[in-house]
Amino acid sequence: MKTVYVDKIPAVVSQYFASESVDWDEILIALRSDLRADGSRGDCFVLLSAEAAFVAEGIIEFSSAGRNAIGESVRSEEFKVSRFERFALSSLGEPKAEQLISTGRVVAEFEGEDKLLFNFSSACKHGASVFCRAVGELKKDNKLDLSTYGEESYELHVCKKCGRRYPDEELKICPNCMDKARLVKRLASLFFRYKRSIAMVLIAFALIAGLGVITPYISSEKLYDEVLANPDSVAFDVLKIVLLIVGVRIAALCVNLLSGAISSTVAANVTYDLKKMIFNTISNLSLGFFTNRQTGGLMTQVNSDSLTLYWFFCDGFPYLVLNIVQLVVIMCVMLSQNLVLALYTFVTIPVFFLAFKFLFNAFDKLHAKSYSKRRSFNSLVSDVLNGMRVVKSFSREDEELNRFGKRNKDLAESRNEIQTFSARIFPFLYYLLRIGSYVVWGVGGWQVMNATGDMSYGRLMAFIGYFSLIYGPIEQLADVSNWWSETLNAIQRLFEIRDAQPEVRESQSPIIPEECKGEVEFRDVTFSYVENRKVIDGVSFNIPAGTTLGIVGQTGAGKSTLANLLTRLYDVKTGGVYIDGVNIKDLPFDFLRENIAIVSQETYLFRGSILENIRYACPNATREQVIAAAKTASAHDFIVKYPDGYDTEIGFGKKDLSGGEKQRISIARALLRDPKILILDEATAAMDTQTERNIQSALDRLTENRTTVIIAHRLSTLRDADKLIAIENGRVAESGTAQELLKQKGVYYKLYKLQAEALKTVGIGE
Amino acid sequence: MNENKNDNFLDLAEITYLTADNSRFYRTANGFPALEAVLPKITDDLVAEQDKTPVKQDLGRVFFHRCFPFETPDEYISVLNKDGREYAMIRDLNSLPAEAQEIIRVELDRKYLCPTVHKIKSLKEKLDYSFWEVETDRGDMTFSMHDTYRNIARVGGGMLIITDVDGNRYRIEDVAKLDRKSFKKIELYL
Repeated sequence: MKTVYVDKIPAVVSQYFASESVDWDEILIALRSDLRADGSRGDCFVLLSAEAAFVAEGIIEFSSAGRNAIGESVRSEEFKVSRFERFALSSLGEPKAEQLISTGRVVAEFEGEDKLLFNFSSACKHGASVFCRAVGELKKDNKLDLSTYGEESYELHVCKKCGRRYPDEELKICPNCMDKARLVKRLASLFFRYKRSIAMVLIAFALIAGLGVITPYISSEKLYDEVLANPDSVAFDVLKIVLLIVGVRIAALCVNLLSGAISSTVAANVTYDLKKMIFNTISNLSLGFFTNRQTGGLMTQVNSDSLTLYWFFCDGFPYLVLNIVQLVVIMCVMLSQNLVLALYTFVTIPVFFLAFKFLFNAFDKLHAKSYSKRRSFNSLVSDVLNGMRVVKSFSREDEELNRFGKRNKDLAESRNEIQTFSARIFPFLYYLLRIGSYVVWGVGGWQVMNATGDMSYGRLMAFIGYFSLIYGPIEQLADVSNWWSETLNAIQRLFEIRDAQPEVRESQSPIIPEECKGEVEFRDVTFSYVENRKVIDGVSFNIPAGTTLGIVGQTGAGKSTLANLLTRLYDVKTGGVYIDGVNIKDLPFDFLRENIAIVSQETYLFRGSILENIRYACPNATREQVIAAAKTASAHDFIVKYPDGYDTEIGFGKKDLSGGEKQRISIARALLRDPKILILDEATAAMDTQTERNIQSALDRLTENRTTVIIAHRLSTLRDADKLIAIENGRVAESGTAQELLKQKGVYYKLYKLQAEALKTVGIGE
Repeated sequence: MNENKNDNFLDLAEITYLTADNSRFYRTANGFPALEAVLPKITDDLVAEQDKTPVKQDLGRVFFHRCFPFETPDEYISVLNKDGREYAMIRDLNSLPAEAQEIIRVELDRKYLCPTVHKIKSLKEKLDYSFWEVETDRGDMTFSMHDTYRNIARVGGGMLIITDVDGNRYRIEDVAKLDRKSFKKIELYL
């Protein structure tokens, strides 16, 4: 038997268990937790065999045990045990992981009383849930199918390099070991498609750098030494120099424009490629990914990240390359012209570089602060504007104004801080910069007077020109590192989404049935959105093809979750959902989407016309079909009342439909799809009873050859169902026809009585 | 007038409070808190006519939940059964007998277990994840966070609740009272 290691078990702990006469060959599952029974931190190890569970906790202590034969220091480990317990499964009830605020504990009935098995922090919550599941299965079937636990092995969930657990199961990225070089390489592969344009940009840079260096040479050295200092010069010679300068400038300008145009096209193309790639991935991800993050935030993030990337490659990267080239060229020229003077000048460079770096770091902090102030300001404004109705109805305008004033002031102060800082520091810095040029003036001037170091007046002027050219690049280089790390973050976030593995994956070798009959079966399904909080717990039911099943239950009982599982928006944790006897995990997505349509309680209509919205799932439907679907859904009547009929634009900022109208349009949308299996999840909840009745009688005719699942808390909605199930706390409390359930006098009966009594009070009952 | 309206509202809601007179807390054989109290029987929601006369009953193991965990951790504690249905409330923990207080506090401390950070030794950001090394009342700890800005919540006054990638929480009692170096490290995320 092969033990499933949910966590790594250190050798000394294995030895300890062996010494407590635990037979490792019998152990099915081994895991580790990080809290002891008293809630203090420590090491807790839990083993499970078919007969018993073992818990040992204590602290693993390391001590140096001298050196081995070849001189390496040896660490010895000792497991100091503070508690060891053996729980025979026969006297243990089904364990439950009680989730506390940020930790949890596994508790089970032991010899008739609740007993703590072990504590765990959130870092180990998954192990705890595996343990509970395994014990539950063992107690039920007396055996454990270890093959279904294959994915739990810790080796699949920890970083291969550093052994830490991945922070996000879906991403499987270890941020600690994330290789920046690999990131850049991946990004480079995106740019590689545009290699020709990039080569042109680089050539242009070399030209710009070259032209930049020539300018001071012509305007100073050539002008002073060859023309002005020469008594034979005529005005034409001066003009020649001036024309030369103008020519060089114009050439530089042209090259600059050209390279700018090329590099921004490349950057735009690459960000376009990237966004396309990411949007593709996002649409393929399962719903869980979106509920974990704020979806709105996700898209803004993608947008702003690609913008960061765009600007860096448009603005940052080209100038970075250009600056480096320019700096190297200028330094070479200076060195070759006057070694001593150049060296004097270069001494000041590190000082400036550090000064700039310090400055930009300080600025970054200030900007970050101001950014977060702006964020909180913006969020307040949008919050209040969206909630204006509430603000006004409780007449809280004054309080909101105060809050607004405070945040506004904070924001202004943070802006002010930046301005004051720059006003104080920049004059000082530029003065420092002058000192560098004083050195050149002084040393160079002295060299010219003494005619040492082959120095002429013109050459000195050129030198000063070069010197001033150095500072631009240095300033930018000091700034670029921050920019660069921000860009890396953006790239990382983008690739993170790109790499995300959907939780719900299509089978590699799907079974493609010829047609869908529409029989649905849930077999012993359990499901939880969050670890250790079961929403569906062992639900089984069967819907014969072409019949209607009604699901009743209180809010939060898990009704909508059943719909989510049937449409495979989420995957079941254990058990299975079958359509025509085939597990839906083996069916292709296309088949599922084609044959199942859901009208959920949260209707969403896209921006566009009503026609487009109804036709969303089958764009090829004829207008007649659309009208027929709308009629069936009782939507036709209100649609034709709008001036623009079916062409009425709806959505944000356009025509606002009421809840009931939206629901009717989404029903029409689902009907047009003509699915074999139709799920109505509180689809008529926002409508008046009359309209609901109309839709139902229309649906009745439609549901003849269709499997329908109706989820509702209003019993009248369910009166045509062939069979009903009542869900309570994630379990099927009772099932049968309405008549049978009434006789059982259970949940359904009570609900029925309550709703009937509600009618009686207004005098409608018998 | 306004006061009257609110009083009316209080009556309607019918909050049952546990006091020294109507309740006795004890520990089960395995150390879990349990309660014997004089309370109306919990009945099915679905039954229209509900009997509200208090009866003395042994409720066995009970669970606690703070209504205002940050601001008044000792007041308004909900006492629940294992399915999360409320038996009654404790208005102020300090008004119960010492023995009951002890039993409840041990359980609350366990439930709300959350290390308090005294000092931030190191805070580094790498590719959108931040890596923390802190000193807490439960010893030195290291953890990592994703989306750092959003996972630091300011709750009333200067208290911060930090949630790491696993969902573990850490608390900073008062951010203004942190030492200067620690404060500088965390300042950007506030």
